[in-house]
Amino acid sequence: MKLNIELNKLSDTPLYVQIKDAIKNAILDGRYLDQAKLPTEEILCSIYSISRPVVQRAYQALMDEGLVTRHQGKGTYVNRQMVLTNLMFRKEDEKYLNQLHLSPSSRLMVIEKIHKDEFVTLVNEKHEMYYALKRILYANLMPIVYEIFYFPQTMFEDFIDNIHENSDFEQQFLNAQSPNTIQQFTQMNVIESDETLSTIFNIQKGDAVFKVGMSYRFEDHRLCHYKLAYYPGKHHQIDMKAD
Amino acid sequence: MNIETLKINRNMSVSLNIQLYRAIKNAIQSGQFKAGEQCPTEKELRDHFHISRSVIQSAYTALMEQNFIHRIRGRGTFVVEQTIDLDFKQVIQPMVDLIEKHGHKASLAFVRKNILKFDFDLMGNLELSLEDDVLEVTRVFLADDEPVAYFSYYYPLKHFKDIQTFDFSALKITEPLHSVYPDQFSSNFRSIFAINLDDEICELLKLPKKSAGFKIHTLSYCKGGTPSTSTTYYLKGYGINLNLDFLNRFIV
Repeated sequence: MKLNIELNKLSDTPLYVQIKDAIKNAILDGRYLDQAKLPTEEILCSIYSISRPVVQRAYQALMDEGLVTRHQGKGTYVNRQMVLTNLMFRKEDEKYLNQLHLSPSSRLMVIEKIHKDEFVTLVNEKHEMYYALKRILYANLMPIVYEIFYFPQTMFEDFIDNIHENSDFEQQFLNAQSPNTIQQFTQMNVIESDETLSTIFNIQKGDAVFKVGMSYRFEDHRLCHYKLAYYPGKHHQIDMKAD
Repeated sequence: MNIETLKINRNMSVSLNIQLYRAIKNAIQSGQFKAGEQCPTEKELRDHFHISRSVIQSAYTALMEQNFIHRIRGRGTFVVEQTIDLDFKQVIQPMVDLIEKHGHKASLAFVRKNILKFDFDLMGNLELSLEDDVLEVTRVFLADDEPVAYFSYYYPLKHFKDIQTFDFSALKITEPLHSVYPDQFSSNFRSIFAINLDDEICELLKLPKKSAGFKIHTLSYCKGGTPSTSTTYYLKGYGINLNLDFLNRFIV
């Protein structure tokens, strides 16, 4: 596996960061496969004419981020695929990812207007019009969840009118979710990835994905919002103590 | 499924994809389109209504998102069947109850019995060495002769004396052996995965190759806290809904 790193010794970015980022991108892109062995520190030093401490620091940073594991006497290997446990049970998923040092980030894809007729789960709710907000959640730049939030138009009219390129709409929306909402599952299936999901998660068409529906209600049972979320099987599992 | 019964009006102000979505949704909810029936193909819809591909895909995507229909690779799109709720507190008894409640007959088909060396990936963390022998018993669970689940039980021989002589075909349908070895099933830990099922499992469950499904792995512990046995269930991903009240207890 050839690793091509373009090092810029004059850049402000420390060398070890440049090396770390290059390897990290190769891993996240799938160019470095699961269980592949990274070049030894000596080899990296000689190929790029850099000192040993720099390379050591880069490898240490990769280990800290959970991307590689060192096996004493054997070498450094790309970790198993990042597997998250019980993420779908967490009300505050970004906070949880932060605790695991998994740098959460997100990308808002689109906001659509829909009528409650178009989404059967909403048919008994009193609101007519909803917004569907679609976004992707990343951990360490790897896409791990695709979420669609459905919320009543009237509740968030102000936000929608004030969206511009740089506004932190998403954060405002998420902050506005009352922490006192009661979260409940309404569906859980395993489906085969279609074109959209394959592109989002960078997986093969047909790969297994958890599909989960959840409602968030206030104490008086009014719907705050509904969420449909997709969790690719290779990155997620559920663990529970039974009985 | 009679395509004639769907009404679409180009002159209405409601967009075509919403009309198509509502027409099919109503047909399914009213029972006109029956559970398990195949939906009209894209070609049939285009020829009959003269609507575009994107209109059809938009309507079908919405119907799929809401669990009205599902696509089986290589076969077509079908109305979703009655879903079976599973309480993962136990797996077998609720399946039997629900199947019988709907007037079907629940039964088990024995597939095979094998002695294997301990394999972590297959059997989970039984805390055994690679030399230890484990009895694997595989069965398929049927509702009216339709396969619903495939599962394997793993019994380490060193914890379960005489298990090789046990007559598994004579066992009642519910969780076997709890009464015979009560100390070995003191508590359980369950993991649920979304996977693409093996060829053999797909064949036994009558699904297309590499179909997506649930893998549920249960590790049982004996009173002393050491792992005793494990079970792995494979279920098709669709038409099986997990009991959500139980899952709701795990929300943090």
